[in-house]
Amino acid sequence: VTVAAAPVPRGGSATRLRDPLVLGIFAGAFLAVILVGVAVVAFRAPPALQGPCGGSPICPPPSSSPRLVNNAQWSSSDLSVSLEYPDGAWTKEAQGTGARSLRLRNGGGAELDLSGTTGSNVGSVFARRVDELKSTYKDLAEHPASDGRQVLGPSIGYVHGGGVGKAFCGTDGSGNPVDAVVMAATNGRTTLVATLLTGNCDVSPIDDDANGDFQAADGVLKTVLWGDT
Amino acid sequence: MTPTSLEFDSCPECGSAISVGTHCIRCGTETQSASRGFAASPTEPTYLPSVASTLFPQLPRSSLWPFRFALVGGAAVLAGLGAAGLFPLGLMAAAVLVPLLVVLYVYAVDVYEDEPLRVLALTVAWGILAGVGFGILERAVAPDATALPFTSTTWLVTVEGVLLAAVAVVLAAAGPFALLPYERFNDVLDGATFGVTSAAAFAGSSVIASSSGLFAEGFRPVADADVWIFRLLQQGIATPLLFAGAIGGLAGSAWLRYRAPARDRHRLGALGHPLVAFVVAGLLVAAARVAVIELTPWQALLVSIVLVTAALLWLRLVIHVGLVEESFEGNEGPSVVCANCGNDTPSYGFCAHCGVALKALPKARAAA
Repeated sequence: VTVAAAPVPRGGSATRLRDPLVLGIFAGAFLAVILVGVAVVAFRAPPALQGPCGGSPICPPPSSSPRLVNNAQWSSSDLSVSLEYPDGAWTKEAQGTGARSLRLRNGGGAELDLSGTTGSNVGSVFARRVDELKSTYKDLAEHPASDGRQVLGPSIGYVHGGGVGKAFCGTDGSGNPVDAVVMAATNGRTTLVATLLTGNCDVSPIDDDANGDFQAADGVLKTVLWGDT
Repeated sequence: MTPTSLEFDSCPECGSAISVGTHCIRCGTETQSASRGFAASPTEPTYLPSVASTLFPQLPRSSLWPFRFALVGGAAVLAGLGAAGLFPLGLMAAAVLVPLLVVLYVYAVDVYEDEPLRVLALTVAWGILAGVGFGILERAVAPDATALPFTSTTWLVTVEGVLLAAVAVVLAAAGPFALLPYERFNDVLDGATFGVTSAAAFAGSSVIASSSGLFAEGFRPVADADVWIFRLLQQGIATPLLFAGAIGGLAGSAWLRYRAPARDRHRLGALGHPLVAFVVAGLLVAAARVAVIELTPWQALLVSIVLVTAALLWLRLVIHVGLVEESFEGNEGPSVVCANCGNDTPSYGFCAHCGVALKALPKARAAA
């Protein structure tokens, strides 16, 4: 004999799902939907960009043709870096031991130094270079911000790598003004520090002379090639 | 001397005889203080825009926490996916978060009794289908991104903001309204729950349908993560809650109007008239859509939060009035153990001990 089950009076029934089960079902279903989303996006994702020369969207330099070089070249085998400079405008004055540093001077007396070291500690290399300069120019001090001489986007050869740059002013032993702009950057394996020394300490950076030195130094630093970067 | 509850022989609110407990079993009033909280969750004031107790009113108090936890956790996942730039995945998660919780709730409290197919077809399935259709319509009507600077704001506000809002409200409410004639589902709470369920499914599926192009742009389309975090929270939390509150309020008002005893049909005043309720629901949805068009993402989200609050309060009021009015129907039944507080109470309108409306607890199932 089958007896119909009696209904429980209203208010006396518990929920059909225990509380932890609610959370479990929710978490499982939520995760499943996200995984479905992963599958859908993966299935519908656009194909990877392909350049005309194969797998990469950016074509590598042609391997058979030598790079076009118009200017004088300097390279450091120790650091695997090289640069070009117009030998009519700049003269090489000195080259450090192991070709780890270079000094150029232009017709106006501006001096551009470049030196490097292995490692990637930009801050330390920069600080060491500033200390060197301060030992030569005792009163060297950073330009105040109001001078408008901040170094914006410091980079060497288009490599930023945590680049640091600051502008300083001081005097040499004869009391002549010395303006020093120091920049350092790294590609993760090598760190370079560049210094431009001029007498333009009190000259506005947008003055033709000062701006000309900056432009000329910038033209050289942009040619720096960081080996395999 | 302060009288104890047992010294009352009649309810200070409705005058009904009180034989046991601290609350009137007819109207839920706490006899000592003569006060009454939200009928479905008496420890909370009626005018408290609590998401969980308003959207899931038939859950016993002790069973609310998984839903609250899932909602907060889900929102954190949305923000995380947005911050990581995984916008298509965030959109999928946003589309299912609230609907998934609502479906779990409907199953847990046995809203559909022994008619699961009909109820699910006219709430969840209808909401999904209508939402997909609406999403496709939205894509067709929306101007191409390249033409956007040349599209007038007036056109956008009128068509995308107001007109599509009216269409959305009609579509989301149509399924639940088809259940109105069935006497089995004659509680206001049934109508409100059907409205909430259909609206949540509608909101979720329309998000997917209107943004399906995004799934072809890879895992990390180029876009601003800050904007997308707001957008995901808007589409995953604010919009479904707004739809749920507005359509739930609209459906509950209709149930109160057409299913409640004749004497109670005007308890909600003008808001109880289906046409007025439709206009209110439309205005809530339209205001949110216009905010998205006219304001920055975070400003639009703030406006949506205000609108969600209003919608939830409306839904809460409808549920409360419905439960109180319906409690005067029928006669006192045998004693039951209240699923909310665990005490014995006469089976009538409200639990004599915690004051919860017994209709705001999981529906009766056959005993084993």
